[in-house]
Amino acid sequence: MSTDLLVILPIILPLTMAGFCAVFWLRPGWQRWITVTGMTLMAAAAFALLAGVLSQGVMVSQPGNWAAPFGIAIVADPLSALAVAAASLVALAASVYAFRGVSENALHGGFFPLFCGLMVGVNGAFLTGDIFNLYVWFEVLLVCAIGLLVVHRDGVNLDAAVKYAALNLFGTTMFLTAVAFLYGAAGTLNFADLARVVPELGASAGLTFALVLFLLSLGVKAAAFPLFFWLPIAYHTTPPVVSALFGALLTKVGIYAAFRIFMLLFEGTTGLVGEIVVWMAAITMITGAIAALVQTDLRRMLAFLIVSGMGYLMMGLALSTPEGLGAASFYLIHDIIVKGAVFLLAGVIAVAAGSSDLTKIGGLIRTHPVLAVIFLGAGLSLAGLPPFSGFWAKVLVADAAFDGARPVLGGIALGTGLVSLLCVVKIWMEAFWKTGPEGMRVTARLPLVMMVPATALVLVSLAIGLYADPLMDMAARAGAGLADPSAYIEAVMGAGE
Amino acid sequence: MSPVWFVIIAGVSALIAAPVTRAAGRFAGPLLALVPAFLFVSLLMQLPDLPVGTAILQSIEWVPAYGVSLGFRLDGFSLLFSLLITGIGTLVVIYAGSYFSDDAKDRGRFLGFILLFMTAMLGTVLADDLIMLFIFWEMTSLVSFFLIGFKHEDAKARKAALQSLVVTAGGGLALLGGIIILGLTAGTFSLTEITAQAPQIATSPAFPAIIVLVLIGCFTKSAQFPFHFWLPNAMAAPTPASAYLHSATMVKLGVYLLARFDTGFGEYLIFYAPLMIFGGITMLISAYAVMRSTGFKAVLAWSTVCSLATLVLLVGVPGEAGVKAMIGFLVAHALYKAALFFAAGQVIHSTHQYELARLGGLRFKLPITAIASLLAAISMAGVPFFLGYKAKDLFLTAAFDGGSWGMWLTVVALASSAVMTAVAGLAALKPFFLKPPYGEVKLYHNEYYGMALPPLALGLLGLAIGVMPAPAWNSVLIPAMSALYGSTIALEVHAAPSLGLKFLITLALLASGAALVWFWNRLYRDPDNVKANVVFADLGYGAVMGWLDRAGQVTARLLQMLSLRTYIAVTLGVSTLALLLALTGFSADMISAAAAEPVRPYMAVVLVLTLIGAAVAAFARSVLISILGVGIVGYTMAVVFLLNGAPDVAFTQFTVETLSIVILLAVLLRLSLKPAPQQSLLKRPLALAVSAGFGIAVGLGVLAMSVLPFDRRLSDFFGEASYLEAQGHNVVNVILVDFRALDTLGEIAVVAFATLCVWALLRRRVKKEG
Repeated sequence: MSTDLLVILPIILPLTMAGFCAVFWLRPGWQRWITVTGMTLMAAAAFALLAGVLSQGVMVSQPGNWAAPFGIAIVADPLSALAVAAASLVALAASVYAFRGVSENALHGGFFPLFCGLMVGVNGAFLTGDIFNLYVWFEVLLVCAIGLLVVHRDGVNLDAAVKYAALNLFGTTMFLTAVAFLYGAAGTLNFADLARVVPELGASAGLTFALVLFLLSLGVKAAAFPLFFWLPIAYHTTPPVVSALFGALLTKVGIYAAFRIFMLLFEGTTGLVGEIVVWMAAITMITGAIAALVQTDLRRMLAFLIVSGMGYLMMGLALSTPEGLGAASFYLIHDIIVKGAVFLLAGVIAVAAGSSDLTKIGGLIRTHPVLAVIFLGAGLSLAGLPPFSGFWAKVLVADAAFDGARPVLGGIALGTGLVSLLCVVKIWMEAFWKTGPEGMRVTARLPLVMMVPATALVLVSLAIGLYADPLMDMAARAGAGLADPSAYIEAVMGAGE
Repeated sequence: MSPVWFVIIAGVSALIAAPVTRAAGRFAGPLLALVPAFLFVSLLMQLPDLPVGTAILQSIEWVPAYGVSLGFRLDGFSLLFSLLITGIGTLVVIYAGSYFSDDAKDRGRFLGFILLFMTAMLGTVLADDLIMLFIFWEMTSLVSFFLIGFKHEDAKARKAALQSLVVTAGGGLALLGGIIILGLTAGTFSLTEITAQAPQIATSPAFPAIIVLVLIGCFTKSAQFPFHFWLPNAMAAPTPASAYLHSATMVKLGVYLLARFDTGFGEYLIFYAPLMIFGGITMLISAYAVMRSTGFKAVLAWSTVCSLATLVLLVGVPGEAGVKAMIGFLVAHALYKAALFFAAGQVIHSTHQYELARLGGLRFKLPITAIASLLAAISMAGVPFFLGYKAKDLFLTAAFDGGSWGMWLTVVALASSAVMTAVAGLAALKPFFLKPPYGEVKLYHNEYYGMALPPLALGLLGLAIGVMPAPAWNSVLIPAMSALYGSTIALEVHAAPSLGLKFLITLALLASGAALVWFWNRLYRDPDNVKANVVFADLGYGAVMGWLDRAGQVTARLLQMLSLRTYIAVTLGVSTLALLLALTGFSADMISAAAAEPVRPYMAVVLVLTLIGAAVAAFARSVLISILGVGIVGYTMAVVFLLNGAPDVAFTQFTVETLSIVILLAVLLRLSLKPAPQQSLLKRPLALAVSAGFGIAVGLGVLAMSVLPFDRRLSDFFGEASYLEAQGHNVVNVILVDFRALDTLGEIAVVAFATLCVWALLRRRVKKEG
């Protein structure tokens, strides 16, 4: 398969599938199979791309054959290929899971086209090599996310949708403004070209302004303190499959963009910006975890844990070292898979026990021992315990912090791990250990279409934990590629000549 | 057999425990016990291959990307620990088989956990790679959590399980931090290599941090002050688990790791002083607490805390004497304390009575247990011809030999020894040989052999090693000492006590212990000391957890309970401040740019319209009118584009503006639209200031930027290439459909998906069938 096609397939496939779904508008049953097929093909394409990048290095496609910086480049480097692969895996799991638990309303309101559309936005954002094009994918992402929030049409969802839309639109608008300032200052939009031009420019109002606006807008997208309010109020209201997609992917796209932009354009976070990002990371980590601890609703708790996880990812940016970025890349992949898994499992628990309110459920270890074991795996990974991927993610991040002369950040990362563990233990004790309250509606047989995808993601996390070397190696390459973008620049700028 | 196989065999047995138990029924205990027994024998067979001062090292590549391997180290010390783990493990499995005789399901689950725990323990003590050690270390904490919460329908058990996990896993994270820093400092995670380069590591600036973190990890695991409180609460676990985890093996892991570090770092004050201080404090606290305890298992638990503290203290004692006493005491304690727990389990199981004060006179009803208990207690009291005597003798030698710490060591050694003697008397004599204070104790079932023989075996072993010390000491204990000390230790052990000062002290301790037993009821009934009980309990833990909970409540409320308006205000406010801060350095640019701007009256008219739209949006009572106001702003912006020579941009703006208003209105119409709540007069200027501030900040930014010349590289290329290469007359069109066609594709997708959203909102609901 030609490089051009391979690089762009993860975007084109879901877009095509969204189109097919729209064509069979009146047949949600067909849309379902179209989506599953599309996600399977997308995952296959994503892994083929990952294999390609690992063997050949950075891969570039220039649609329309307009050489960079004049056309739009689509670029797969180790980081973007990894992110696309992990995202596609979660999307595949979610598409199978969506055979249950999606309301008739949603099915007839365009749930599946929006599902595919979300993946267009996610993969587009991961793969684009052009900053304005990134904005376009952000828009696709945002509009599909809003669609997935409103498609169920009940009061709580709409309220959440408005809040989500209001704060995120503001973030997206700031991003666009930042792009405008950057274009005004540097005169180009291509990442690789920007990476060559911007460091030569010297300080100017436009550039400084763009930097601050990027920090703010991506802070909103990545749910960083103090811009993260939209997340906890929106994520628990949706059906589990949507929460899983959102929890696994949306904020990750934001932090990915932050890695890309800050490392390519501004040589990481330095000086005052560096200090600010350090504290944003620390406070995001802590507040997310301690707020999660007091939640009684399982999904609210998980939503706050997303926030906490974002703090860990921001540490990579705060450190701006190859090790820190490599650790953050590992964490990113781990987090995409595990957040997807826990939200899917939260949905299964809600089916098994009739509610996701921890005060209203219990005793699941007697009624659903298999679910208990699988949830335990996901929970331990979430809390950063061996032998799951979360353990290595935590170790690498802490190691990078100590190594990068930020011991306080490393300490906070480890300490926050304890609070996350407390959250997981709380879920375990409430949902599984304690005796269920009177009148709990237990569903004995859990649908396989829900159990299998969730279990598969947990097993992926376990596999990464037991055999961490390959991913760690790839993450290290991703981190090195971020810290020293010369290969990226060469691949893009040299490709058209 | 290479070390990795011990872990693998144990792990496999844990996995098959549940099905095997189901199949084997009553005989599951003895059957599964064959696995640890086999491992025990295999370990003994390693002895000839392991002369004093040697180690079997094995390294299997695992995660080279992070420098982590499956590195194993089998030397005298890890062999000793492994023998304890598998030996006592054998007995525990047999014991547990009987203990859970009336619930087959619980039995399978329990035996699985016990064997899993044994796997984790073997992994920890056989590890040479510190990351691998940590992984197994955490595994022991986790299994301990499941065993303490084994009776998970009981809220008290859950609470105790949580507490033990918080303390040990929290300490584990400190340990992990220490290991990571150590790895960065030393460039390796291999304990062997780290010990070899100890002097260099000690000079690094990170050294104090490493030591403090490792100490925290070890102190939490081995229940040292101020983390001692979890262990007595952990007695909620079934008794076989208490015997195995919370007395004989897991809680000794802290001591194990301290001893390993002591080999390299024992001479540094920062390492050994905390051991002596905290070990000593813990000894005194637990010696006091044990005298205040009433529960059978609580007494044993506190005495375990005291013994662990003794071990920690002995690790801290510099030189040979400390190592000798530590190893001697470690083995003696493991044997007699496990036996006492086993006996306690038998008593509680057959009488359903947990309070020591209510027990008595069971010697004829539980005869084997009574004998076992007596043997163990005599060893614990330190009577000659028992292993415990030699341990105490070495302990006193080390204490008297303590140099500048001699006084402190002597005081804590004597005080704790006296109390431990008393505990031995209490636990062994009272339930069996003293008269029951409240009448005959009811027996629900007779002695189970499966539960009576294991403690007897341990008690007899303590006697055997006391009477015939040479084989055990020479082949196991002394090699362990030598492995820790780093060079061969010479020690002659005789069965008969050597007469002298220490012998007299031993006798005095026995007498004082007897006196304490005699006065125990009176001491216990003294109500004045109750306050002190509370002080040594988990007050601090409760306070920290309470504080965490309150902080969480406040944070959660701030993050999800306030109005959207507040969240927007904060987001906007933060952004405005950040942007204004960014502009501070560029005021000269702004002034020169403002001066260069030509005056255009018609633009002023448009801008006034914009302001009117903004005012309508801000001050309208109805949300719908507000949205229309926003629409006016959008349309005037389009006019601005139109007037600046960008008609196509203007057209796009018109379209987008219309679409977004439709969507917004549709969403809002679906909500039950109450009239917008009127903001207080105080908040309104604030909102105005925040929004105006943001607009002004961006406006100033544009102004400051406009002084720099624009790089026309792209525009020029598009101008030239659009006709020649792309064959289009209209540059904008060519950009949209060719140069940047992907953007256009994306935007078409956005519009399409947005249409879906609108449809989702406007269409009728699907009626539920039926």
